[in-house]
Amino acid sequence: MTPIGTITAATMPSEELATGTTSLKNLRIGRWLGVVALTLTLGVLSLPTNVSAQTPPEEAHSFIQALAAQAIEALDPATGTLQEREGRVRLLLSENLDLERMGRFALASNWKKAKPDQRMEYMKLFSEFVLSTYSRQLGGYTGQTLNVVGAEKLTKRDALVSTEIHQASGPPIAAAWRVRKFKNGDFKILDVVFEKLSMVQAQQEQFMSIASRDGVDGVIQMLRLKLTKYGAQS
Amino acid sequence: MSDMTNRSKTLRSRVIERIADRLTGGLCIAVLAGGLATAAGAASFEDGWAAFKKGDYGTALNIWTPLADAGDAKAMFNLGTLYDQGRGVVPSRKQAVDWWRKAADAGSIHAAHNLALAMISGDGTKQDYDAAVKRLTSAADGGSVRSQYSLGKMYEFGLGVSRNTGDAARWIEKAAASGFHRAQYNMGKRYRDGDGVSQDLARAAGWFMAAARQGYAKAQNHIGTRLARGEGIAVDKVEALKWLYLAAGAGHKKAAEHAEALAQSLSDTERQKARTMADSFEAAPNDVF
Repeated sequence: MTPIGTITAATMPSEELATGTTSLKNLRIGRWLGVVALTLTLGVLSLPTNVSAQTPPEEAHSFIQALAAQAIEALDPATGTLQEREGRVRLLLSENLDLERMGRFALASNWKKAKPDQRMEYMKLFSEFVLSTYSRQLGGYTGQTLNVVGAEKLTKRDALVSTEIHQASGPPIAAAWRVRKFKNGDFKILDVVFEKLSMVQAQQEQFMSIASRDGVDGVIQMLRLKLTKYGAQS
Repeated sequence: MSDMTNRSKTLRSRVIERIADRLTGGLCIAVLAGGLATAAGAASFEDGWAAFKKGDYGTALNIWTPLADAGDAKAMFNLGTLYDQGRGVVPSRKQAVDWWRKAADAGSIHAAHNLALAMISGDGTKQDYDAAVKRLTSAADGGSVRSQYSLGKMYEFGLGVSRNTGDAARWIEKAAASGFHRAQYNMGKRYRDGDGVSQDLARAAGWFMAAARQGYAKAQNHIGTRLARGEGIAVDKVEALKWLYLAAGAGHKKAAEHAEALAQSLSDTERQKARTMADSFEAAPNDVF
């Protein structure tokens, strides 16, 4: 399992992604459940538009709670096949994940080096990869409930909402959601932390390793290949 | 953490098995292991699949685990996907890779493919292009279409093998012939450019068309522009506009620009016809793999 590490300046995306007072020097440390120190930056998940000053934890809590209700409805086994249920979860995720910020964060400093057509191809593949991964991870369950167990301020801008996914069988799974509120009032999810493992940070570590060897094209090829992975077989 | 959980589960299972052996001579392990194992005792692979499709991943896991322990390669592979995707369990790439390795060694081409991908990206296992190529070759020879395509990419980029565009084209064309849209699109570009094959614009158009019919937007843009120019295929501007409308509708920006330019050279009737054809188009995706 990929450990949660500290994001260093070398692994961060370019300054041009940062806004306002945010810069490479602006680091904040967020804590989750008092167990893991999740060191994140303020600037790395920033794009220059429509960014709110802060995300009140109680509002992030309500956002995730409402989303969970929609997800449970989408997962109702009486309303379609596994593929259809996953399709609905995928749609829900595509509307509520900030895929562009997640993608830029995962590519880190290589985003700045990437040419426009590489950026476009990467973003398309990354979005497809994230949506297919998460919709499989979260979709299809029966008898699942998602309980919001708490919300706290993570960084100056973001809140972290802790949840437990309870299943019909098996132990509950701890999932935390990094949420940001935008000026237009929209909320977006910027990261999902399963059992203390930050998904975007794990992606970043993997992409950095590949990019250091094979450049941005290597990351693009790797994503293209990853999308050929087989699912469960009958 | 999940590995620790699983180790402790394994330990617990062993303890239960020992107690069961002492009490019953080993006849009632499933009963003592709890309700889940009760179901698993008589359950078949298909029972696990039925539970999986319902979304009851915990039951699927409990049915497939003893089957996998008994050597069922398909159960091993599916357990790997449950751990990989975190269905009913905490996601664990390492557990996924462990099961895929066992399944691949037991003959599963799907597992060999997924294991190779994990080796390429260093996901749950050591990054190792050479080992990935060996697994991909074995799966590709065994008929895995996705492995044929992926192996072609390894030859194209010289990962784990010497760079060889001829071998790249040979493997990717195998996957294309089996109906993999991404491979068909790739062969369209290869025949267009003479990359690893002799340049052949008619074949290029043929592969672009095959992928376009499956709903692949980039191929729709390519076949649209070729139909408009008569490159490797007879000119048909209305048909060209149909494909460009479809690609543009799927978010392909260049296709939208091409469609706008082409539409200006057509009459209202022709534009309307192209739009009607695009609206009634139904992709025919090939699910051979």
